[in-house]
Amino acid sequence: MKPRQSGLPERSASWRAASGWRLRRTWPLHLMIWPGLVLIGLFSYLPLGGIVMAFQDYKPWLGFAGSDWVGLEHFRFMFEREDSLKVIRNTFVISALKMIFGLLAAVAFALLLNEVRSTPWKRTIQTLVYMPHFLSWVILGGALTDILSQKSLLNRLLASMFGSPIFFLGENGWFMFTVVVSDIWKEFGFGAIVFLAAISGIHPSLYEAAIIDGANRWKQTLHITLPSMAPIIVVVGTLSLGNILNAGFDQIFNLYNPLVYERGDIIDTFVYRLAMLSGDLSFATAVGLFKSVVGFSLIVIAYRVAYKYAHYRIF
Amino acid sequence: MGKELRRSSLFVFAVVTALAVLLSACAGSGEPGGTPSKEASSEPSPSLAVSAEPEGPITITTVEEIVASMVFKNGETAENNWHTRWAREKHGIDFKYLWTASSQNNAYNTKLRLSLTANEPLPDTFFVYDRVLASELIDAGKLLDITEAFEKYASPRIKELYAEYPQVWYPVTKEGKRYGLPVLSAGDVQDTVMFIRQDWLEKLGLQPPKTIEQFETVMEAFVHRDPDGNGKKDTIGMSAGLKDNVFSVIGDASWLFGSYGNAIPGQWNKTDGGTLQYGSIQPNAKQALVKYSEWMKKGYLDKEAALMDGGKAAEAFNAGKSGIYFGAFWNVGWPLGDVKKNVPGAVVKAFPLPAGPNGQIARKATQLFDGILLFRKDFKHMDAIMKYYDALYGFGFSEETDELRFGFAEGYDYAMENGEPVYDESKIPGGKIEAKKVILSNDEPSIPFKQSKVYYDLHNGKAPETAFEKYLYGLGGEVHQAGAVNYEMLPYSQPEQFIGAPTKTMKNRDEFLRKLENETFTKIIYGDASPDSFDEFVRKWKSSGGDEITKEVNDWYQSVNGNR
Amino acid sequence: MPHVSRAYGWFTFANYTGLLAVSVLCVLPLVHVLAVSFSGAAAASANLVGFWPIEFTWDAYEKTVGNRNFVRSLGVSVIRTSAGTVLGMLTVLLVAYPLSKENAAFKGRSLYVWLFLFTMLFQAGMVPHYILIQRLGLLNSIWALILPSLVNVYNAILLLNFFRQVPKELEEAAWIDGAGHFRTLVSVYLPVSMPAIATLGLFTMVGHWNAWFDGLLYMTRVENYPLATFLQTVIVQQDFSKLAARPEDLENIAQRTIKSAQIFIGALPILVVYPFLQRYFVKGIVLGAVKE
Repeated sequence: MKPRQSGLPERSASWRAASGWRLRRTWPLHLMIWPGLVLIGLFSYLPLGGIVMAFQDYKPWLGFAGSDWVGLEHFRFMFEREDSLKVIRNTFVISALKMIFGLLAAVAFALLLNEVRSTPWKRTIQTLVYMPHFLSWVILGGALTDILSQKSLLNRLLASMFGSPIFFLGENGWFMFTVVVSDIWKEFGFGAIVFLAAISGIHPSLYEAAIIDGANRWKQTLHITLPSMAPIIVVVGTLSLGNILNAGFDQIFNLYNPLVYERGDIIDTFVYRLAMLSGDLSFATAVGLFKSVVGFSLIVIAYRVAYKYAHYRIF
Repeated sequence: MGKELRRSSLFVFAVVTALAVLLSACAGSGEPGGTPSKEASSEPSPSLAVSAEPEGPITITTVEEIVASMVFKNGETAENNWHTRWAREKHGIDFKYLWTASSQNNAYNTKLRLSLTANEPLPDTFFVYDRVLASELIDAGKLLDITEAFEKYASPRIKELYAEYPQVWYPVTKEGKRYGLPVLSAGDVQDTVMFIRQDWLEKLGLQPPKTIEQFETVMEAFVHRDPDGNGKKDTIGMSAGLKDNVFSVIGDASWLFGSYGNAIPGQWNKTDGGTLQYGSIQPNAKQALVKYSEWMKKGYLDKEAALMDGGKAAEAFNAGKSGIYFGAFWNVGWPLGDVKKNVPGAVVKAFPLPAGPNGQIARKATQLFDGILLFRKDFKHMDAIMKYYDALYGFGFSEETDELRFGFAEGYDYAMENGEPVYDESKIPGGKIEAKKVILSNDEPSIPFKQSKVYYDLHNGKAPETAFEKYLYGLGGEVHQAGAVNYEMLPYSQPEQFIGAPTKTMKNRDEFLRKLENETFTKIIYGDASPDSFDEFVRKWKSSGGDEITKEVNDWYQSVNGNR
Repeated sequence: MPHVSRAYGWFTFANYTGLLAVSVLCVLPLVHVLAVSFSGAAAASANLVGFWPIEFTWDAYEKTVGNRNFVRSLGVSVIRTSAGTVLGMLTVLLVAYPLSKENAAFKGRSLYVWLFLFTMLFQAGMVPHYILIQRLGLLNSIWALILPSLVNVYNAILLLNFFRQVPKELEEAAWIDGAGHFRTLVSVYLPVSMPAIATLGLFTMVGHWNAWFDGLLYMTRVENYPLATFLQTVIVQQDFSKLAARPEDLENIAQRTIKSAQIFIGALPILVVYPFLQRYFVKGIVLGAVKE
């Protein structure tokens, strides 16, 4: 079921041409957009000129005009490192896993919560599950180290079942698992809010009609709830593609250690270590540019694919 | 109906809030909040400098790095406190703060870089901890050459003191000229000593270990003989934090490397041949790593050590589950001070480091300088600053004529009782605060190693005479004991020899090499990699830029040594 | 109310149990943090605290709230958050509405959308932003914390999607009544989209309340730090590398209890405001009468 896009009421083409109401109709729209445009023009596009830093050996006292031009040097440095491909791969993998499963978890939770009839319970559960969002990884890092330690309750349980404890944060594969799962746990509650909002906008008459047709709850979910949520799910998923190379610095920084550099070192932790030594501002800009280009390209691709094959504009 | 009312009232509320905020903000920005007025106020310096009036106070602009231990009382602020008053009254200096920033998250350093970038004028003088930042500023040509001024205006005792440690000038020396004033540190406050649960030793009938073998025996006992007496085998021998580095001021693990050779890991050491070599690729590193891997297998170390920093590693010790911990002498107060509260009867004592097979001991030495005081290129009042600096040293030198010999501010970090200074918290009206945090160098300039000697003397029974000694006396017997051990271990401290700005190849490769090092070390300790992978690591290190860096470091060393 | 099948009955039971279990799992860490914040420093530093305080004390809160700058920073944050949220939502509303129209109906729409989206992904970094704020004379002003983030493109795109789901009939009815775009926005779209607006308002509010980096950069006086910056940087010394190691420094270092108190204080206002917004997206309001 394609979502409806609101536009203009049906009118004949001649009526439209004759009355010139298009311009009359649209000038308020342009007016509404312009404050936003001015703001982004000033606060986003103007500073973007500074992106030249990514191509310079930027020195604060020389400024943009005076610093040496080094072209693609920073990018070359980024890719020439022996482990740069590994680091980029780690970033991609961790990010993709978080995105996919995080989205699934948030949507699933919204659907399940929707089945809770009692409003007080609904609100209580919903309030509780979004709380981890407010904990910082500094605290959670320490907590996870304890909960997942090889001597912990959890591991003793696992050891009795499977023979040996799992070194969650010290083995590469398990580290990735822990990172993804803990991040989902932290964010699914907060992430589900927007889906709950989407669900609450569904008109009850749709459900009433379905019930008359004999559809059970599962069918209703499949044919009414999910399709109504589809636009929001799609747009949230698409926009998160823009973040594909941001695998979550705070979390990784607080959880990683030399034993898991192989799979756990991401672009941002690498840039952080470098910045600690050199205070190099332009390298960080170059990396940021790289991340932006990749993220933006993915969004463009997703948008085009959706338009070409489903004739649907994601935004 | 009710919904509409709520909706429209919400809307009205929103509009009103927005308007209120707009109005208040407009009114608020009438304050000297914007930059233009700041630039105006920093103008006076150059013009005053030209006229150089001897009477009225001279304005010196600076910036302040706010640290958490900077506490104020009596309604004072970072910009207006005992220090600003004292400087004005006693030295004719009016300190004006252009901005303040926290020391956390590198905020202060970032702010400095940003203000450079935005072409804001540098403050007349400012203090930095970061050597790299200082060297950037030197390269930028924005700093004052103080070589002459130091010769001319520094007091004799300061000149004498600095002459003892000529290497502190290296970080600020460029082409023979000195572009900043390093502030001397206490000299050994980060060097490692060993802490053991004395009560555990006594309970199990053990002697404090003097060699590695004895050390292993002690750890074996701590793990298997139930020292905490709860019937469970839940104790470990030694706690250390391996997350970032083998060296740390808390939860140190680098001490073991020193038991097999003088090459300290993670730093550049002088060899017998007179060159500088990187410590982590030397043979003694391999021996230490092998030892650690044995200990890890035997359960002497915490299985999660690689995940921990020194603070987390201290938890086990504080909970009474670990018997040995390594760190600077002051660790006895923190982080190890809490064990006494959690475990009744716990006694923590400091000990010298265990010696290796050849009686070998070595440990990493503290930097001789805490940070550097920098001056803007056209700053004209070096004479006033040097006089002020000498006065700040009053606490360290403690001579009769020094105003600050008792402390920095009466009623803040000390009080007078019957003509004698007292440092007891309860005797100072309004509570004791560390007054020295607000001075220009953020902490008192020290006389290296003096503090250590005092601890040693106090521990051995000397009665405190000078105000400095009285002050240290007040810190308690445990600190004296640890400080005394630290003092005895001084001959074993090996300093970092490379204190110049990062070299060209270092900037490119150092991060990668360190990552490789940490990975290799940790994996060997955990048994995830064989000890022979160390040799592979050394090969890789050398060929991935290590050899170039070694050459560059030695070139630098030649260049600064040649000037002596 | 249709009869509930047995299978659905089982499902409901499992659902409730599962959701409750997950809720408990989510709230436990906060309980732990709360417990640590009320515990004595010694027990906290040895990690002995579970879900109940050991040696109950108000110490951590006293040190945090009692710090002179706390109230001031709180004020800065309150102003910044309320102004930022209100103005931000207004901006987002004004941007999302036109963008929600079809391309045919609004020429240039596509261009606009990409212009906005581009800024969401491409940022120039700290240095150019700092220079801009400085040149605008906004350093140390609260507007430096509010203005740059007014146009939240993510929110705008979300909102435009919600707007697209508004039934056409409502809009047509308004037009027939002679309403122009502004009136339509306020009288039709706004009420129907309350769940979305509440959601985005919450996101904006949380974002402002927790933002600490811009405060760090743009405020030239530590006293003007918003609360998040203040909690992040001033209260607790976490950086051991600079430890000049005077024994007297050590009291203030990294006290677990203070860090925990900070987290709780940081989260508290949102937790308080949240229930008022919650009803918009949990139960769901479908306003207005849509004539079938």
